[in-house]
Amino acid sequence: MAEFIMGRRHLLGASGGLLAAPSLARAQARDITIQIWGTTWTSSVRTVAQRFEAATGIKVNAVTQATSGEGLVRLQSMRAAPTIDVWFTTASVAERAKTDAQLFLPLPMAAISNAAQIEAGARASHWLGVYFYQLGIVWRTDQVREPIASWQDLWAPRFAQKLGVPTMNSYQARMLLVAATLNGGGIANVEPGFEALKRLKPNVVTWYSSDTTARQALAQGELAVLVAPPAALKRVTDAGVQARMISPPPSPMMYDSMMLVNTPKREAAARFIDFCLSKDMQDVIAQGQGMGPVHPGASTLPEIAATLPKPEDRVSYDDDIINANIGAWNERFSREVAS
Amino acid sequence: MKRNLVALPAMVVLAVLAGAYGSFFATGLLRQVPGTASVAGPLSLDNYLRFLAGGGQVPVFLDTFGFAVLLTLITALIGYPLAYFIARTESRFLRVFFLAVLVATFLSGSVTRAYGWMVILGNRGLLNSLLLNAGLIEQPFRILYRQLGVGIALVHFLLPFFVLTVVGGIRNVPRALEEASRDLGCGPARTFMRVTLPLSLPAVAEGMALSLALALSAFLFPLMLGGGRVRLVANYIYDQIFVAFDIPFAAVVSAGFLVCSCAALLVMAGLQRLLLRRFATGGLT
Repeated sequence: MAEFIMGRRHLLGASGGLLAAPSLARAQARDITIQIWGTTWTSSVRTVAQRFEAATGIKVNAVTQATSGEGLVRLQSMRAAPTIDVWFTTASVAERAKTDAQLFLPLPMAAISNAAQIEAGARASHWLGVYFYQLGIVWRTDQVREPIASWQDLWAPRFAQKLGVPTMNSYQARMLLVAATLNGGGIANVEPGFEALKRLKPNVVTWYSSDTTARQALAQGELAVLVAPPAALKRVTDAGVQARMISPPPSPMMYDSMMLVNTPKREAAARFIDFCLSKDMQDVIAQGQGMGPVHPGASTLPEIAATLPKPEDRVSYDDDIINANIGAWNERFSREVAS
Repeated sequence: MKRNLVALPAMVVLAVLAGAYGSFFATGLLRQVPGTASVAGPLSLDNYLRFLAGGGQVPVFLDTFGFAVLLTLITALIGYPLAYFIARTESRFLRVFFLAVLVATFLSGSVTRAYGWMVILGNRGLLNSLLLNAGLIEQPFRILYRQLGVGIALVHFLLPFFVLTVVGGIRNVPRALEEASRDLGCGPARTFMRVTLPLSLPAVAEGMALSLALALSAFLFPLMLGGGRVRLVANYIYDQIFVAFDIPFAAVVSAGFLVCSCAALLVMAGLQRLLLRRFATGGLT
């Protein structure tokens, strides 16, 4: 057997190579992988990814997820060696996920120069908002003659068996919190919210957990009214349905966000996050999604901009409280309201 | 020795599956870190005690078992005549045609089928349009987003499994026995009740056990067609993992459900033995 003797020079060279390997891997990343909802990818982020590749030479691969919760559990299952570099999730789930220090990295704000440009509420230590949206009311104008003016209208008998309303896990209990706020409660006292949702039952056709299915039901005429973000208005009007939207107070505001996963490609991943937050890409994302841009210089579609709530009508709920209670709220909702 | 070697691959597969279930039991000993998606020690039986104390999952278990048994019975009632026709028809064309229709349902994915049922069962769907145009109803009949809609979709899903299992059983009943029965003066109905049905019951029991197992584990159709109102155990477990992020309790519920499902299937197997003993001594009277 041939004997291989490593000289001092070889040894130093090899050791240096080993030490430099992780940073070389970061520097030489030619592709990254993002985990994202299918519709978000096809509606806008795919275009952003193509432009990112043209600008940097870094290819962006996409893995789709049905929900943020499913995405998080998948990431946890690959904690030892994640193959996802950037994760798209709701801010609520991001707040829950960031406690996993092994899986998620604090964002290197110095490397993400556009982070300083976006609105303050869309910026946190571990996530950056990619667009914002409110929960509002979308309706078909051919089935609802008298326009809807407030949340309270949904309880009117004229909407018997006409509504699609999100379940507790869709939009992280925002419908419960709106109902509670309207009836003298709030995030600290959701009792009036549950009572109000029970009274809403006769008007509800479906408590939905899938945006796509709910939008399709509205487009097919199974529903006349849908409690949803402005993206639903865009999708159904794109499908040729005459629809309108209102965002009455209290108007719960939410962000979908990006998180950096602990992988050797973190530098390329951070560059992609930064690219998504540039003014031009914010235009692409907000207009493609039918949502609001987090970059103040960017703009969304005029018909979507018209639905955005007045600043004084906007409310934000504490995600830590929601995360601590969503499991119990969901059980109670399933037992007392949906069943 | 040779026989043991032949069984080795099956034993390896079973060991892997058993290991997976073992991990369920072990995960249930951990606990969720509040407000996070993480799990941690120390090990305790808290989740098992919570499960045994009842609570949210008891009504879901009862609903699931009741619904699954009902669907299994409906599938058997609809499926047996279909299986009998396929097994006994003289027309090769009709036999191949019906089998092809059944097999075709396997080729379409569950999501596609769920969307198909939305189109058919909706208020503006095919079924309601037909009933309205025929003057049988004045208002659309709400089927979608109700248990009824989920039940229809699930029976459609279960039917091929049941029929394809039972067709073989009926074809294995020797025609000579049926002919002998007729020669001895029994009419077609009596021959069927005293010869064909009893001898095909083992296959029926197998088809029903398969249907029950599939109905118990239903997830997608309740989720897509149930309108949030139909929540079976699989949906409950999904909520524990992806909404509450309480993976240890989800693991305990899964393990508990596995035990209950096995018990249900054992009851069915016992029932099958009882029926066989009953019919082996003289058939239906």
